[in-house]
Amino acid sequence: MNALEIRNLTKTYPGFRLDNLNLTLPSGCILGLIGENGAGKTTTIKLILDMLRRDSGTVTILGRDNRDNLRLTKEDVGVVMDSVGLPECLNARQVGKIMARIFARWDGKCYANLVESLDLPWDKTFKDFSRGMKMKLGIAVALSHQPKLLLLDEPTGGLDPVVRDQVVELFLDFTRREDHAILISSHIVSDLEKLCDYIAFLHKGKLMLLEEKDRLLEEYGLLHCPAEQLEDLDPEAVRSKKVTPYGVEALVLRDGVPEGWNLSPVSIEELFVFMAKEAK
Amino acid sequence: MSGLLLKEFYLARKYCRSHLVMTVLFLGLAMFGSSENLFLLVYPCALASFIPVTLLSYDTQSKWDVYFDTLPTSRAQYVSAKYLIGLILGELVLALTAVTQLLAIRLNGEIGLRQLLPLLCGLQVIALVPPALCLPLIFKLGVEKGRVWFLVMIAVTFGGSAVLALGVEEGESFSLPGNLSVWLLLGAAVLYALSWLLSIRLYRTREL
Repeated sequence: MNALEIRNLTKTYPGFRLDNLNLTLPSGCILGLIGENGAGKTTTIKLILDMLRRDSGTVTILGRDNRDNLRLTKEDVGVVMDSVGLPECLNARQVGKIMARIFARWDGKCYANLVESLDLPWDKTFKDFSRGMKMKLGIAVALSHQPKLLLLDEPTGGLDPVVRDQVVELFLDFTRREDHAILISSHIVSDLEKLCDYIAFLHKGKLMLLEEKDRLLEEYGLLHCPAEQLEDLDPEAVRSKKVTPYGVEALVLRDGVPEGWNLSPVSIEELFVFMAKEAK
Repeated sequence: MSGLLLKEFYLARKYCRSHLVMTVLFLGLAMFGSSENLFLLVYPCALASFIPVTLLSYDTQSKWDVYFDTLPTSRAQYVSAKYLIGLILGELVLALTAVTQLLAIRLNGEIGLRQLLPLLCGLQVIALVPPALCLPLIFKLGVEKGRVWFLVMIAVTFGGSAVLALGVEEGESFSLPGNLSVWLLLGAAVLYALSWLLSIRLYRTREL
């Protein structure tokens, strides 16, 4: 059973359209959703949770249609949005008491362990938390009710590198179980490179690419060469190019490049930037 | 549902402390002061009736209303928690009013038990009607856009009670005919229930 299946999902706003999104997240995997600001990442997550009315398409979460008893489905889903909307006057202890009465499978011990390990104070009000601390508390809540699917919208934003590493480890640990999965959107592509099995590029509401991360890194390379040399290459092999004063930098399909040509490895971030430029 | 009510209590305890102080102060003044000072009795009930709107605005400010949608709860429960907390706190204030007025009867003897019941019915109406009229619009449009209507309700509630108080002649106490007060109370209760259902219906379709 796939953790998440999105078919032909469409949502239109004035000036923006999430256009026929198709996405599958297998169980036991982590899918990274990369996109520039306004690409539709948060809209996608809100549509998955039926927080917005979709124009068309279907969403299936853990084998269930997301409009079919969604309350029950949300017991299995942990969510961290880019701003954690906990009331400002509450502290971690009070949040735990509230969530224990909301989630059927709330694990108080797990919550306590996470609060301690993430170095969060029990009695400080949420209003006085730093951005990173707020995010950590949101993550602690999301992980403390035995979820099977995590939906994370910029969860590592505002976290220092040490804590980001700690949080990434938590997420990796979460997917060690085969029936667990994560959909994570982030601008911090280095975190996604560490975490993800699949990468999806979203640009202006359109899914440009959905592929296994390792395959992407094997399939594409960066070519630095003079402009004349690029003309010798099959145009089908060139996905995007950038002209610099020193020549051309091109994102190419390795299979389309003759042997002997020197290709550098490409990072996910570079891949996305090139593809977004090409789409413009 | 209990989780949501617990959250409402935590917020009310934090943000409505001044309401409690004002309530105790005003009811205390009403107990030892003149019995025809209706405003001292109306004010605490009116304050309590606006608590759900106050809590809604804190929810919007902290984005709890968006975060809440990610939890295994329903929008109907979110709406119901607001109506319930308003009802619970309103009844607490009314109970406090009843106790202080009974004490006042023993101390001053200026009003009798026969006037007390219609008075309490009238106060209950004041506790029920403004939120019944305000909340559906606020759930539909949001706190920012519904704020104007909220302010109108405050003005009508306090203005209306001031007019009533002015209409009470010196030496007499405010009273409604017994039957009328009961019918008004029933009407207010039905209005509150209908408002509750309408708010659930309106909030279900709202995009956050």
